[in-house]
Amino acid sequence: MIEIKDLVFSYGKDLVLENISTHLEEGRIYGLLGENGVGKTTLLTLLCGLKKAGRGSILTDGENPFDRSPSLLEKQYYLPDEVAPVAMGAAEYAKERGRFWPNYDHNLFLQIMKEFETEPGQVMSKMSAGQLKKTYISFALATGAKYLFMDEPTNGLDIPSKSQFRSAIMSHTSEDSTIVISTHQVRDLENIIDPVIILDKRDVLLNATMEEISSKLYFDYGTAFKEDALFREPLPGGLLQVMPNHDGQESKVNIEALFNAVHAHKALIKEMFNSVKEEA
Amino acid sequence: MSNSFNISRFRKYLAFDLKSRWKDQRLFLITFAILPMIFHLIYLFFAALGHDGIAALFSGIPISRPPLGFRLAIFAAAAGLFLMIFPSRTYGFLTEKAPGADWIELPASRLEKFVSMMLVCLVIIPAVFFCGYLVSDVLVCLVDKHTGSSILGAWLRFDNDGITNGGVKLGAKGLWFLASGVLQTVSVFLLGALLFKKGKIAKTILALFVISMALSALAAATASSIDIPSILESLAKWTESHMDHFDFWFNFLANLYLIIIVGGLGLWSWFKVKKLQH
Repeated sequence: MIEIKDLVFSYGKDLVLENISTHLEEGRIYGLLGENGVGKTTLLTLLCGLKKAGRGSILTDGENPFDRSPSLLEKQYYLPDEVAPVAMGAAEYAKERGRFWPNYDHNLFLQIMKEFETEPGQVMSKMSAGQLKKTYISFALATGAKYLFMDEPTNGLDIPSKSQFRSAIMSHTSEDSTIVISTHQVRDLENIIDPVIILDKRDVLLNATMEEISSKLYFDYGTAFKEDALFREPLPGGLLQVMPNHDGQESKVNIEALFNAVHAHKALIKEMFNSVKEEA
Repeated sequence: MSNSFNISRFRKYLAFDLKSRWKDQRLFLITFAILPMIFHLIYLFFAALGHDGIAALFSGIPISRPPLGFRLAIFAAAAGLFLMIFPSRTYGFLTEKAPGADWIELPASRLEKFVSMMLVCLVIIPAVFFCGYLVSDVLVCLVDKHTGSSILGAWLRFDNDGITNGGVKLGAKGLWFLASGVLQTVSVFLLGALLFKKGKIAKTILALFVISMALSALAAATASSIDIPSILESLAKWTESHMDHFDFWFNFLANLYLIIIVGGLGLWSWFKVKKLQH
């Protein structure tokens, strides 16, 4: 479990995260969403100990990630947006580094590489950006790490690879894994992320499960114009509207529409979902 | 298993580190190690041109070979250049975002990674370079009999008492002074590799220049305000009274200076590595 309490971080005088408090539970795939520059990558790098919090604390299983203790490092893996094109074969790279993660499974690495249709013997510095990303994703999943932090993992992946990525995440992570995926490509990951964290400038606007979201918000895909819609978007042959769910009706959450609705009504949404937490 | 330092994890990490550094730097290291061969061929080529052209190389006409003193100068220049360049080539990546983050996230403790880095930089790579260079030089002398004595051979033949510095006998035929120079140079340039993101070597040289200028100015300012002749006189008296153990005192002070310099730079590097962020 990851506990974030009153987290503050700034680049010099530029305050990026201010008094952020939230927690990440085990066995969940979190989608970390936010506009450009709100601090998604910064939060991920703080979570995995690449940066030091200015104030406040982050505790992963009771340990501060910035202490970079081997016992925590072997439980986590961070996949950055930009990965290093190492001048060695993918399989060799994975085998060499994998020895440091106690749950690393080299056969699983080879299997995922095969699923991604990427040649494990190929030298990484000669790979295309997509192939390189797939190699690192395969390695990340093969480490068997309990905490996986992925920054824009689907960037650079072609259409079949995005679907392979979703299926790899679903089939090759254990039930107690906590995965945090920062992305702008919400449609790529819509079906696998739950809960959703929406980050605003210096603040967490929303951290809620799909169940909580659909219990509070109704996503209407009809044609009738709703007066109380928080967000409205025309669709071919109708409208997509997000509105408060007064009658407890079930609907399929559209993350992009949710994101826009949350941004249009920040205070209302925060109040709405804070009351859910308090009731819980 | 200890989170600070664990021997078996350290062994695993050191092996990984060595393997990675060898893969990245082998071409660079080998090029510098075989410089005596390259230099010898270039020297012969130009010496032959000065005689009867390239054909002279195969005609049996005696062509001059690089003298030992000249080869020693080349050795000193190559070693100096190598020691300045290799730290930033081997660990300069730590300040780069993707490879630096990769290094931080590898499950080994900061202390294990730091100790491995210091061992590789201060001992293993310089040792491989010096051995490689000297062996190459020996091979050149063995293959081309007209070359004369190798650097290694000349050094081995030196009388221990022959190498002196102002009447002080240098330990291990001056080897300790060579090691001391290596340790200081590598420590400085390793720190530069960790402190500066770009232009690591140039900025380190510039920083050294600025520091030495500042120290010179400070020394000049101090000298003008103190009575130098009386200090020199007391120093001479002290030397005279300790003449029986002068070697001991000289080596003690030299080692103390080395420990302070290398220890201080090492400590600075440690804090830099410890606080590294990406």
